[in-house]
Amino acid sequence: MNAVNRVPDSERMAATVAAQAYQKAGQQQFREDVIVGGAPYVIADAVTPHEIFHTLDIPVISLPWYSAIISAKQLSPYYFGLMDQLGYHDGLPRYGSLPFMTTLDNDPERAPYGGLPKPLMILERLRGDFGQKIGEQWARAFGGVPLVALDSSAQTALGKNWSGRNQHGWEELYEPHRLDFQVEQLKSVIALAEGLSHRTLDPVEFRAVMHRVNQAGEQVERAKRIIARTRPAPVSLPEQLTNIMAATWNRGTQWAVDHLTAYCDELEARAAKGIGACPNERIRLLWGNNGLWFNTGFYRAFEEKYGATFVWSMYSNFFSDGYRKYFGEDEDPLRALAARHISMNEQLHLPGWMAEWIIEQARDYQVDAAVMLVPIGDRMSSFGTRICQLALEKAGIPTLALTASMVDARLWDNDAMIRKVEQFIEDRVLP
Amino acid sequence: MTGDEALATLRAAYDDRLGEAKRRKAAGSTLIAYFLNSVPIELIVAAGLDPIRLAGDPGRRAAIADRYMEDYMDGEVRSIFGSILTGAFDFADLLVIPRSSEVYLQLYYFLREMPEWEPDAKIPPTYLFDLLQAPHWLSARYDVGRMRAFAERLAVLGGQSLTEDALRDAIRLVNRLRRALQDVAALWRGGDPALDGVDALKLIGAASVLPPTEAIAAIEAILADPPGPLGRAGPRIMLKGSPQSDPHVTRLIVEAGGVVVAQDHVAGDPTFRALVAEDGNPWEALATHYQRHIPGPRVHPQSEQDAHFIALAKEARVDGVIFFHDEWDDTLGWEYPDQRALLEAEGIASVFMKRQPYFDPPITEQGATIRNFVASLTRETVQ
Repeated sequence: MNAVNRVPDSERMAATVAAQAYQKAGQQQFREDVIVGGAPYVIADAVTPHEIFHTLDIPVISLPWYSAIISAKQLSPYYFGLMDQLGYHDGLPRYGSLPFMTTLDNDPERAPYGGLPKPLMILERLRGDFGQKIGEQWARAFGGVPLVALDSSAQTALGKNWSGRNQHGWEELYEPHRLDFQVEQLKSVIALAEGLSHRTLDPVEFRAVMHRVNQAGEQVERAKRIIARTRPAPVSLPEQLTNIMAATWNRGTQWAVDHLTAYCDELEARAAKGIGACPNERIRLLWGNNGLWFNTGFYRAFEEKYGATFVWSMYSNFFSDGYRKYFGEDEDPLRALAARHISMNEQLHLPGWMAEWIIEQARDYQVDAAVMLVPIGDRMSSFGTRICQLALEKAGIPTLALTASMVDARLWDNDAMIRKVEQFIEDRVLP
Repeated sequence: MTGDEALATLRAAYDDRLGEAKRRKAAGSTLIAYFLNSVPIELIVAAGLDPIRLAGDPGRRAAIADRYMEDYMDGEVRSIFGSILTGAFDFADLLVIPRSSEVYLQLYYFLREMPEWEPDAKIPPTYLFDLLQAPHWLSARYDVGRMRAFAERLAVLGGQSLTEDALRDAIRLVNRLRRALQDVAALWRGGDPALDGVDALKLIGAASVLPPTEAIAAIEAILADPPGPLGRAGPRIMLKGSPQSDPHVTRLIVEAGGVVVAQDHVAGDPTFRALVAEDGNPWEALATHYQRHIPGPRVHPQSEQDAHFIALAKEARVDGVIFFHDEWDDTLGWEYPDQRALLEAEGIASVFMKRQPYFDPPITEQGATIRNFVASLTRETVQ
């Protein structure tokens, strides 16, 4: 059975309500402009340069965002059943394939927001081995749209302290030959997007978009400082996710900067008044790896009984640590954009970088223990979790690994998972 | 060398790669060990060094690897990781890991992490060959740069700069090996095969274990003095999918009465399908070859790969195809529905063996599935 705990509107932060309203309005706008009006939009993988399309004022549907929506609406079992029927075996990646299945299903009544119409292009970054395989079939299912597959060069050396070098020292960190290549790829994307949309990328606006992403990231860093130092934490993890992810998917907009500023102001006010998401907070937990999108209520299931609350997941401040790329007024913002996505996978899912960053976050947020999701059906996201778990334990942070799908509710036994975490808290965390 | 002696040499090299490597190391070779089919051995040869392709072994599993690496990693990569950590590949002067598959890229990063966790492990120096395979001009240009960087590293090991003349000579030599393989393939793909599927797999594999000159000599000896027809009349089978790093599945097909006439995976027939262009700029020729014309999970568009697959099935006049996918496959399964449909359009039967474990394979179940499939083809042939 699956539990989805809805927090009453009256108990949510004003910022959370505002973020949800903004997203709802955005969905309505998408429906009017794109689905009814036929305006162009782009389907894009998460680690692709959405900033180009934000500058061109072309809406972007992010693959993980749409996957998470499908999952949150409890539709994943239906689409995974369809996948089986069509001959795609049950071991294939789940996270990125849900949106593709909505197109093959071709039932706008069922798909969130009426399904996705034919996009201007599908934009992929070839991190794993299968992105182009899904992309080619998806482009064909739309009746033929361009598949833009950004090739993924590999970091040859993983130095220490990526999060400390990533914002200003990115030229050296990400290796110049890789950045040269990525810049050329981005130029190709811009040329194609301009040609297909008959719009022109305004360099002044593009530079402003890139600055605004940094400004928004600064607010996320501010939120981190507030949450990390304040006990009880002034916001729950699900509300953190709503606020941060809404800004992430709308990065580069003034709304994202203003929203995150208002979110931080409200966090400070709550901290000053001693308002906590879990008033009886006694144990701080860290959620390692991808989010549990179909059941974010799980993050709060241990508050009442143990005073145990999740205060961090990788979405809490990847926007601040991973996205920000500073550049001077005489420097090319396109190179900074190239640096943004070039090694995100390594930061989040490679043994060395992943473990180093998560341990740093655990210390900053004063966490007592970690729960690490080991995704099944999306093995790329599972790589590195074993070494990360060893590294956390070595750093003195008890860690529990939970093996589960990020999006497939069929494979989740909520009661059993709650029992596992409770046992872990009782055996290894409680004083 | 008689044909039989040559075949024995090739079988021995395949069966004991590590013994072969140690033999050459003892004889003074500077051994450049590599994985998969996407490392340009032409560069290694041109640098005056000795290339040897290594692979996983289902019989070689190390607990130390399981301590660090997730169960979801390909079994072959886990086997290789364990072999490296336990010193089984310590003869290598350089281990070259190509970025032509995500799990091998992960292997590289896992190895980079190991000195912190296993300071006593004797891990040979590793080198990531960052080959990109999107069908783009930009990727080809990037690959030329990576080829030149790789050549510089090899030049340090070889003690001499790699010249363009040496590279052209190496391209011609390795093309000669590919041509020899194309010719000898008639012995398993032809009308009345003279080599069974197990020998074919071993011969193809051994061609990248032995030094190119020795492999060419052995294959040419077989061509000059070929074995007689096997005289087997069973259904003609193609084995397709995950790389076969040991012959047990092929053997099961043979034991079931099938005649394995083609192996469509990165350790099979497609490895010698295309030659490197011998005219023009050798760097660009090499980059284009390894970017576009070798088999691999990242090579696309899929329609081109599928056209090669169907062409091979037709050339080998197969009656049936066995799709065999690794337990943790997250890639080949996306191709399967289209490929099954292509076979159906050609009137070729197929069976799908999905999610097959690398270690401790369920031989009895695998054998039963294969026997049933071969029997169904036999009935069709009789009717």
